[in-house]
Amino acid sequence: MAVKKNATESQEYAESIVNTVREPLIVLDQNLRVVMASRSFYDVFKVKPEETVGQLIYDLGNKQWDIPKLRELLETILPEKATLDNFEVEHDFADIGRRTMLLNARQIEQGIGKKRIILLAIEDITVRKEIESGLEKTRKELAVIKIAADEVSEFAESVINTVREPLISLDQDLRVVTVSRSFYEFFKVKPEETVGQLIYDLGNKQWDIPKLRELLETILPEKATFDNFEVEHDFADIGRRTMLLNARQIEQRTGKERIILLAIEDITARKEIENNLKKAHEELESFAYSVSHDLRAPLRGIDGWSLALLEDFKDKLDEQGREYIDRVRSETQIMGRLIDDLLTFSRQSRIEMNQQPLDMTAMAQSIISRLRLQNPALQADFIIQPGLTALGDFGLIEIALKNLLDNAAKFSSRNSGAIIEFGQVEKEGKKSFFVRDNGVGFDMAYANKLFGVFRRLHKTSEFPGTGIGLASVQRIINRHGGYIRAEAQVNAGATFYFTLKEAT
Amino acid sequence: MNSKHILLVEDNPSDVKLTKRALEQNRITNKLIVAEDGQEALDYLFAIGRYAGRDARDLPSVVLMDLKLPRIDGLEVLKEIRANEHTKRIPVVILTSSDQEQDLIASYDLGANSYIRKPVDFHQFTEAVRNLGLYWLLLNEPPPVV
Repeated sequence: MAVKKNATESQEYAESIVNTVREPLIVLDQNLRVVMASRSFYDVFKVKPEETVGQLIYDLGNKQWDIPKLRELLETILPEKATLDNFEVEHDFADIGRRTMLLNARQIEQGIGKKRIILLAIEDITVRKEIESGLEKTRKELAVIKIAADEVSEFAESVINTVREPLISLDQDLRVVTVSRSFYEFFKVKPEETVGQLIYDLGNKQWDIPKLRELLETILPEKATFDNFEVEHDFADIGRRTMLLNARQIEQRTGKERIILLAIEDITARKEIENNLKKAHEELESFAYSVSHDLRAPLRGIDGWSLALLEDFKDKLDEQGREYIDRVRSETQIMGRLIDDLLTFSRQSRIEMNQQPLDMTAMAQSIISRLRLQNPALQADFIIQPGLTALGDFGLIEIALKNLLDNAAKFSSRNSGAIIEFGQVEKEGKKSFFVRDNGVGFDMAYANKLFGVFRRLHKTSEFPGTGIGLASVQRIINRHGGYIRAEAQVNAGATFYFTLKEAT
Repeated sequence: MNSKHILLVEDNPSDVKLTKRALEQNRITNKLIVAEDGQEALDYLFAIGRYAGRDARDLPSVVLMDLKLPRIDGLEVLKEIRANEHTKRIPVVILTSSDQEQDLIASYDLGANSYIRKPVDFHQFTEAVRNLGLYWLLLNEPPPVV
């Protein structure tokens, strides 16, 4: 009885252990029928005690447990080894889906001659597996990212070393972290005396520039980014330089230090060119100013006193004398016109342009109606293509178009059936405006002289003019980014083609 | 009090003589005072320097003035004229060779009443002087003497 009681007690003890462990646990007899299953077994595999105990393990839950690897474990491996740990089994269960399980098995011989039983502990490692594979994936991704990061930093470094602009990066204490090759070359310093140094201390404190201090210590902390900060400085080794600085303050992830990227563009040469250009411009301006004031005054004198001579000494001059004075006066007028045209011409290349969409058809029509008013004898027929538009400065383009139409009218004035056309054609793949006349034309051999200042292809006695008109037109068209050229034939008219930006 | 005279501020003697000739041809017989530079013009208007003792209230009906002048240029003279209580209302006509935009703008900004570009053709010049004389000496009502 005591033994029996003992036996009952130890069975209860075993049963409570079985029910306490969280791992599903079943006990099989030697025929692989379920003797006992733990509560967690029922929970995990969603089965009930009454359909479990006494059943062949393979038949459990509609034969869901008929797993080849389990058969292998129970029928082949276990009889030989009696104990087996971490036998991994993956299986699709109808009710609970695909699971990965680790099986621990123990075959226990109960006394001699007694039957053996099998303890099977099942650990569901599906979630752990997933986490592990997730981890593995993350690890792989990290490796890829690291490679990418290395590549990026390598790329960044080669960018730094490739750009011609000197480039340095500083840490938040303004000490040099990285330096581009061009920096060393340009500022004639060596890596060993640069990296790790305070920027102001570089090259014997040559870089201790008040404006640079202002940029790095005052402006950048506030604005984080700065472009085209102009700094002029006398460097001991390379002389006076004007530099444009672009700076970026980069916050690295939280907690990390910020770094500062500084790109330095040496604009000394450009500045010099700009200054020279400005000076030349000013000189031209004052030249034009004094031409306008001083060159005309003597002309007025010549004309005035010639006229006085003619008026006051009428009696003492014969026909020829009076004719000479007339010639003096008409030359004076021509000179006056030349000065005026030259001034206008120089003004056209100086005034600021205000580009806007232009109705070229309307512009041509208005020019022509003024032309007819000024010159009632004008016989020509004008053919203006409707709907022409372009982008340009109204005043300047009007001067150009007026010059071309004036010319067309002038050089076809001897024709009885003069026809002047203004339109647009496709010329070498680009839309070109054209002004065409059927007048005297010119010899293409001189076409290259057509647009020069004071260049004329016709005698003044035939067709008057100062030779400024086409030079003006070309300058205006060029200022608009277009080009002009002419096609002509002697006595068969001329066509001027010019391009302008399209109005959008 | 007002003798209806003209102050011509012009440094070019040929232009001075031509202007005189043009006035004569148009039978404008009003007295013509010539100042050959900006300083002289101011001396006359304020009755100082070589014009000290002149009755400063006798102001010209019109000042015809060039811009490019020795010592003090025309724009500065104009500025002085407009800044002074005594002279600020005198009609000032800029009569110059230049038609530079900057000159036009500066002249009008400083209060010029008119801007004439002297033509090279003397006939046209004579015509311009005739119109000037007609307008400023006959048609225009001068500011009252204060």
